[in-house]
Amino acid sequence: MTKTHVRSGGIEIRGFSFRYPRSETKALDDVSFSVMPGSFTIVAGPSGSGKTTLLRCLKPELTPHGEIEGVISFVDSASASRPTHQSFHDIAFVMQNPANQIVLDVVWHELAFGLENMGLSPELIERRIAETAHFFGISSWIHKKVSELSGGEKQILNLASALIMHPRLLILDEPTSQLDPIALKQFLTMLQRVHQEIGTTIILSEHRMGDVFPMASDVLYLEEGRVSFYGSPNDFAVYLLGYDKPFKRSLPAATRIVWNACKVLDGSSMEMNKESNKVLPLNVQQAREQLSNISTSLQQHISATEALGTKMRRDQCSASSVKKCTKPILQAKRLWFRYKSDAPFVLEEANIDLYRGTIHALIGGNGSGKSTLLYLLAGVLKSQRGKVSRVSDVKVSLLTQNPQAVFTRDTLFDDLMEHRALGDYDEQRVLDIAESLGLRHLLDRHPYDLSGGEMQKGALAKILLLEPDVLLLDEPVKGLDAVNKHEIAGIFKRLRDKGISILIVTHDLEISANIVDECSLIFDGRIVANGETTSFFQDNAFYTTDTFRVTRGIVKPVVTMDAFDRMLGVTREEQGDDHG
Amino acid sequence: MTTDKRSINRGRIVEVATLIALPVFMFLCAYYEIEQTALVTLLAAIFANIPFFINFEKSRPKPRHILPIVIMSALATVGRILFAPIPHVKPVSSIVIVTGIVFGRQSGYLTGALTALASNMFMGQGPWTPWQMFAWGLIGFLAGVMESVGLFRHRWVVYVYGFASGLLFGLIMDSWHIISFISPLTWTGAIAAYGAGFFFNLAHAIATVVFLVPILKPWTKKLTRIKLKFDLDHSVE
Amino acid sequence: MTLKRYHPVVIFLYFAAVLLVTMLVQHPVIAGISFFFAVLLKWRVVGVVKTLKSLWHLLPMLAIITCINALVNDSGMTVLFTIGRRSFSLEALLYGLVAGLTLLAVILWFSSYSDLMENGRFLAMLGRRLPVISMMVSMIFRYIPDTLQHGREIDMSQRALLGSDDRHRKTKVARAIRLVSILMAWSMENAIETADSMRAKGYQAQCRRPYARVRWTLRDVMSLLLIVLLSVLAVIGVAMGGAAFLFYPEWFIPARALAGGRLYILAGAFVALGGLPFLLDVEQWLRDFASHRRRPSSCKISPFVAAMLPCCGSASQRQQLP
Repeated sequence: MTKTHVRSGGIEIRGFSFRYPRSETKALDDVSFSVMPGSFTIVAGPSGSGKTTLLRCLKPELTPHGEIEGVISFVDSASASRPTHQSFHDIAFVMQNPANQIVLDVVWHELAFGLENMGLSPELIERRIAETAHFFGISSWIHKKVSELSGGEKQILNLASALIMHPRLLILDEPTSQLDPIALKQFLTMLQRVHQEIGTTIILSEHRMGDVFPMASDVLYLEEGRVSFYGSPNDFAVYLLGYDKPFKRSLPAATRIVWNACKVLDGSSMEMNKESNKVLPLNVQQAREQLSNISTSLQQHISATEALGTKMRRDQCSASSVKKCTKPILQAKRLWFRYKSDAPFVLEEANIDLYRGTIHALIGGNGSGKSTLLYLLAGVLKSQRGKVSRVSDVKVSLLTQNPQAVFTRDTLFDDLMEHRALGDYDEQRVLDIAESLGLRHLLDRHPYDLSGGEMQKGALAKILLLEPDVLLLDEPVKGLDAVNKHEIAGIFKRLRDKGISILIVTHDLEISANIVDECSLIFDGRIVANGETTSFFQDNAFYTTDTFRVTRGIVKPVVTMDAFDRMLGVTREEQGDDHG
Repeated sequence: MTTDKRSINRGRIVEVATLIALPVFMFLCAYYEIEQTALVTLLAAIFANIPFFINFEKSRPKPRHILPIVIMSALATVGRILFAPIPHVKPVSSIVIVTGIVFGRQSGYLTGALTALASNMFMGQGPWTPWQMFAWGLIGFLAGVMESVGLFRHRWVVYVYGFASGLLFGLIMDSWHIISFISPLTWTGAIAAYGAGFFFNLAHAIATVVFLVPILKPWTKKLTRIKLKFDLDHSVE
Repeated sequence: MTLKRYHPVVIFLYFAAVLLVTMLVQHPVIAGISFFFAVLLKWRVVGVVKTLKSLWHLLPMLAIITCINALVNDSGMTVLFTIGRRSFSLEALLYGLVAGLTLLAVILWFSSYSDLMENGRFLAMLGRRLPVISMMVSMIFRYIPDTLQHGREIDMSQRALLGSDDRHRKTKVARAIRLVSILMAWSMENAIETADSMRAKGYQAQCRRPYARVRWTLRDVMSLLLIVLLSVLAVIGVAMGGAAFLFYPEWFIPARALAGGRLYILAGAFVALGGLPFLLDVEQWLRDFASHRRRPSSCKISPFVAAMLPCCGSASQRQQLP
């Protein structure tokens, strides 16, 4: 019979290689590592490094078709590292998309799904549902339809319905990438409770390291299917920064600031860290502590740099001057909107101005009316009161949250060619756009077979072919890893330099601070704050970037990493992928 | 293996027998002027659906068999709800036909039947529900059969079938209505009732073709790709 | 509505019994009773506005059925009036009315049933027999809101891409078909992940053991017995000829129907059956009333009330506890 107590299991992988059919290169190449029972392992790596393939190979039911070499053995804590037989409920798997994993229509039924498959008795199922709902604090929505849940709640339900089977090993494949920052924190808190209070072994792939580092015991870093690093989180941070990997962008700003500051001061921070056995900071508080220890020498360095007259505040100047001398290209005045005549107003007296050649960010919480405002600006919804006005001949394009919504054809190329009559462009133009966005090699792929970042770029390409003057983008960097995000940000900058105005709705404050000229904060249906990016973030206490939180009051406060580096006089941030 | 095959064959025989038995039974009901036709026909329609359901259960469907049916049913249901303001114009039949062609007769039947069941949750359940389940199921089933025997090699045959399926749907629903609710039943009365429904059925038939023409080729292609993807994604089953 | 809290099998059998009797006979009295209680139940389940709304749709149907029968049939003797060479008889009109009322009653019973058992909950009891089918219905209901939501998003982005010009019917249709096509491809793509999730949670059709959040309680059993008893009584009444009623050539009730009060037994049993949901409501209300009136010092449910109630027992009291 099924045991009701939870045991934790581990995994041993020796010389594991995997090759997809009809592929020349191995997706995984000679991967070896072992996960101890009760440990918390992060699998990190740039997109396309084989993370998902590896995780799926650990779960027999999800192992893809392909050529396999090497051994994966499941280890049970009880049988002391002897490989044991495992069944589907020993290893639970939580995937990226919160909605797609849900099978049934009501919360309790979804929770019961795995247990029904285990063939448990109704009494046992009832008991486990009760326990699990209580542990995850979801008792109050047990009768809800899953369609009524928010994305974050759906993902918590997925976690709960994975754990209700009492797995010994829990695998999560980028479970937070689709969540907004608040839901992300809630999800990770739950996950931490699962790890600490139940002792389930956890393997997690993630591209935002800041929040998961403190929970993890090991990090496995994959690059092109090989293990490049395997060790503790702190060593991993040192490794990424020391070798200056592009993936270091996924580290929290707090860590990078302190690292860069130390590096500037004595040029060899890696050694310093190794010698003094100092731990790199992972959050704002730790970073502030370490930074204030070196604040005097840092101040001296900054003054010296400033004396040298490093060019600073170049970007900001150009943006604000543009704004002063032109009229807004797209403007919303006193908008009131509700979806139904008996529904509450989503927007109440919302105003926003968009200027030519600027990037404007619209930030705010869930349900604050961000997307609605975007739809109104695009003209696909009509407001009940107020007015959207645009300069004549201005073409406005909209990209909704899911790029899937724009693809109709079976290859990316056909798809991009779809509106050639409407947009009056030819094949060459498609090839040019594809080239400039780095999509050239993907043109004969099916749009839905592209990765998240590629799909986003594909959708962007399709819209750019129609040569819009204004781009309205709903969460364009959602679900992308730091490297992809950086690339998309670079594309936005280039578009702005060509005179296109961009309005992005986003939860991502770091990206806003880096590329955006003007920010608006929307709350409860209206724009409550609006300003030039740097001053906007400097005026906020909570709604601001980590960089600002760390530097505030210690050195001259800045809001972006780039600005911090410029202040220190190290401007050799790899800008190579930005210009076009 | 042999027992499996035998039970599959037995399942097929039962399905075909049901398809023949139901109209015969209905005709007998009408001919002998059975008093409780409304009740008898309701039960007959419910029982007509059961062999198809049981055969599907027995085939031990995998997720890759289940999900296409679920998705197509959800899609057809949404289509039916969206087109509700225009009576007798519904994309259900065409979606069911495409499903039958790509995923086979069993999936075709289930998509039709489950769409009727699910969409009537919004459009209103009634004694017609089992009949609609049967009628739409049959449309999908026959589409699957005709594809498997190679009748659908030419596209226009599918369009003709689409048109005919609209009429078939009308024929089944009208027959149910006539046999259950007209008494005493006379030939003239029956013909008059069929005649009254004819133009609605024609509208349905034309609408089915109108939906079928633009979606047939692209959807077949898209669904075939999806089918391949479903088949590739599973390994240990 | 107390009925909603009963076991799905009880609810199903209740509706099945009512429908059985309604559809078994063509009798003005039975049709009338059935229609009356069908409207009453609909009102209890969805409220007065929705009931009136559905009656607004149904009553013209009744008129049409009655008129058509009067037009088509010339078997009646009692001629009410003649138009041209056609005579309209009271019998034909009466038959049409009874047939129409029966149909309306059936439709109303069906719709109350599906209102009570929202989202295919009625399939919970099929779970044992048809586990995969009932699971699939649940999955369809899980996908419908998502499909609508995605449809809306596609509509937004397509309109933004191509402009919202839908003056021409042709472009409107083309737009709708494009929308549905994208929707299909997108939903299917998502379904691949759902299939993964099902496999990850060990879905295999053969060893699945469906779980329904329902349990048999004493009051379920009691009310089930009552339903069976009443419907058996009614069916016996029908079988003994209590429902005999001749429409043509001249309407009359045959003597065998009235002999030994068969018709009254039938009608009485059917009234009790039709009124059962309200009896259950009253029972619940009385219990609530009694428990609210109860003081710690004088803790007493009136034995009279307890004895009067058809389905007493600890089960229903247990369910009241938080």
